[in-house]
Order: sequence, then structure tokens, then C-alpha cells
Amino acid sequence: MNFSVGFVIAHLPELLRGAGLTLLLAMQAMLVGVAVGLVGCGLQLCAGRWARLAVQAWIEFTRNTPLIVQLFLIYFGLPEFGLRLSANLAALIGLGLYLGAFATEIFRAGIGSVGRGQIEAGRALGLGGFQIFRFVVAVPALKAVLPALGAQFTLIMLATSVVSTISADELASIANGLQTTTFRPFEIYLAASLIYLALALALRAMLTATAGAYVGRWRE
Amino acid sequence: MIVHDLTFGSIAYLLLAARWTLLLSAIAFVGGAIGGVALALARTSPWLAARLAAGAFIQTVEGIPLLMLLFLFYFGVSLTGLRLDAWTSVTLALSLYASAFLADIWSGCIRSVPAGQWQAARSLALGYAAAMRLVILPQAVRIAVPPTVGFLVQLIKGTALASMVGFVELTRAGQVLNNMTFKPFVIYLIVALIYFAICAPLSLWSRRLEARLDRPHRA
Repeated sequence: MNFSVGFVIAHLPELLRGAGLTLLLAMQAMLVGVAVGLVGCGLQLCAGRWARLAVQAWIEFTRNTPLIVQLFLIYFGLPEFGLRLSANLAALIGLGLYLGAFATEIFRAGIGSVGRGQIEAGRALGLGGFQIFRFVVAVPALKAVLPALGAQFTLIMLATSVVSTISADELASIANGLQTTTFRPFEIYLAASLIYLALALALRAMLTATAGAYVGRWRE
Repeated sequence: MIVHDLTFGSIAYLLLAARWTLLLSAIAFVGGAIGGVALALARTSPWLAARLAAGAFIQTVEGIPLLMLLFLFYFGVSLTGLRLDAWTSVTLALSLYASAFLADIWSGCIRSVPAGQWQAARSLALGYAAAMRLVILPQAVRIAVPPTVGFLVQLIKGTALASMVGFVELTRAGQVLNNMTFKPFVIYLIVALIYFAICAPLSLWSRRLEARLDRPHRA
């Protein structure tokens, strides 16, 4: 058994660059995921029956199949139809759609959590449609979804490691690259794991603090 | 290079590979359940040190991607000089992953049993073990079933990553077949549909159970 700490320190700059790429990809995926989730939720609430069914089918497919297979479909499968995406773009689309499916369900549950009586009370107070949506539905719904959405953010940040399987740029890919050139896989993957752990703990702390601040402000 | 056609034989090959996905999921679930019970009890125990240790373990495992856990076990075991096959390292990594998530779910369920139940049990002169076994756990198990089934879906999807360390299960079988036929879209779509056929009924069941649990509270 030979374990080398100095070796990890020597390659730390590359790993940290990977951590930066992972953070960037995770942030982009969160933005795309939330946008997809809002559109999906809007379609489910307002669109016609067939559109609703299509959205529901897409959600069920996404939630019940592995992310890695979805990435393979996008990255290796779509070129068969002439749609050739770069690994990074395929990764972002895959992660964004994956998070989007979960976000759609979360948003819909959040809006569903606002009781009928609340909306009727808003109407009784003479609020218009938009005002009811803005003050009676959206704010309490957002408050209700923050914990679940935060948990999904942490999961999607960790799930970015899966895009290394289509060789998109992020921490796990860089670790794979270092591993094949240096033949010290354990040290490399241990260091990468610890960086992911630090990112996950930091993200969770940040989300808890943000959610706490917003929920606190709304309560007043 | 010979390019093969996609036949019914290929689909049969994928369906047969799905057995290993199911078996791997089952072993990881059993291993994870054993570790999960121990960790959940430690996390809700009256001893501070046990609570802290279990909490730190759960947070650590939940904060590391499953793919990294698989690599750590796969390469870490060979570092110690022990010779283990892909099976052993993959089942160990998946069991560890499952134990942390199940412990997180189950300790939450134990804590959600109202404190009055504890006090009532203690006032009946039940000890910690007896109160846990006779009063708390039966109520906690009821709440625990839907999220546990939900996690099982996450675990089955997680076994797909075992393909990355060369373990031949459904996803790996899809890759092998793709290398022979160069029909990635159809192959990965079939692979996805097989996963869907396994996971969707479980998701539906979990949702039904949850809805049933909710009913008495709303009444």
C-alpha cells in the first residue's frame, strides 16, 4: 500500500479548476432546471388535456430512468437524427431537463398547497387575478417549495459528476484524466470526493441561510 | 469490423442483463437496510456521541457523488492489496450509499413520532429498548414505507453507474450492444424503457401509500 499526499497536493490546482467547472455547470443546470420547471408547471396548470398528458409522460420518463441513460440518449442517440451536440451542451441539457422534471412536480405541489379558501379570501378582499397569483399563491407556494427545491439543487450538483461519462468538462472528468495519466486513482478520487463534499456542505449551508432569511422576511 | 443488426436477440440480451440490475439493487437494498437501521437508531439515540457520529457519517456519504463512491471502493480495495472482484466493490459502495440515505429517512420517521408517545411509554416504566420496539418503531415504520419505496427507485437508477467500473448490468449491456450495432438511440431507448418498467410501478406505489397516509390527518 502506498498512499501519497504530496501527489494530491501537486495536482490540487487542476482539481480546483475542476471544482470551478462543476460549480459553473451546476449553477447553469439549476437555472435551466428552474426555468423548465416553471414552464412545465405552467403547462400543467393552464394547457389543454393533451399537452398536460405529454408533460406528465415526460416527467414520469425522466424520474424513472437513470440520468446516465438519458445523457447517452442525448449525446449518442441524437446524432442519429443529425443533431450533434458538444459534450458540454449535451450535459447541460441533460441535467437541466432532469432537474426540470423534479422541479415541475415540486412547483405544482407548492401551488397545490395553497388552499382554495385562501384564493376565495383574496377574491373577497377585491384582489384581481394577477394580485391573487402574486400575493396569495406565488409567495406562500415559493415558501413551501424552498426546502424541497434546495434538496434537489444539492442532488443535481452531485449528479454533475455523471456527465464525466460523456466526457463533459467538470471535476470528475478531470479526475478521470489525471487517473489515466498518473495511475494513482485512489488518491485522485479521494481528493475529488472531498472537494464534492465541501461543495455540497457549502451549498446546503448557503441554501438553508437563504431560505431562512426569505421565509423570515415573508413572515413579518 | 463487423456491424451486427439489432434483433430480438439483442432485446433478450438487454432483458437478461436487467436481472443483474435487479439483483444488484436487491443486495444493495438489504445491505443498506441493515446499515440504515443501525445508523438511524444511533442518530436518534440518547447518547450524544452516537448521534454526532451517525450524523457526520450520513452527511459525508450524502455529500459525495455515488460515482465517486464506486471509484473509491473499486480502486481503494486494490490499494490495500486485497483482491476483490467488481461485484464485491460495487455492492459495498451501493450498500454504503443506501445505508446513509435510508438512515436519513428512517431517523426522520422515528423523530416524527410525537414526543408524548415517548413520555407515555416511559411513564409505563418501559425502558429505552422496549419503548423503541413496542411504541415508537411500529408507528415510525408506518410513515417510513412511502419514502423508502421512493428511495428504492433512486437506488435502482443508481445501479446504472456500476457500469462505469465495468460491472455488466443493464446500462453496460446497452453500451456493449451499441459497440456492436451502432444504433445508440434505439438501444438506449430500450434500456431506458426497461428501467422505466422497473421503476414506474414502484414510484406509483410509493405515491399511493403516501396518499393513504395523508388521509386520516386531513379528516
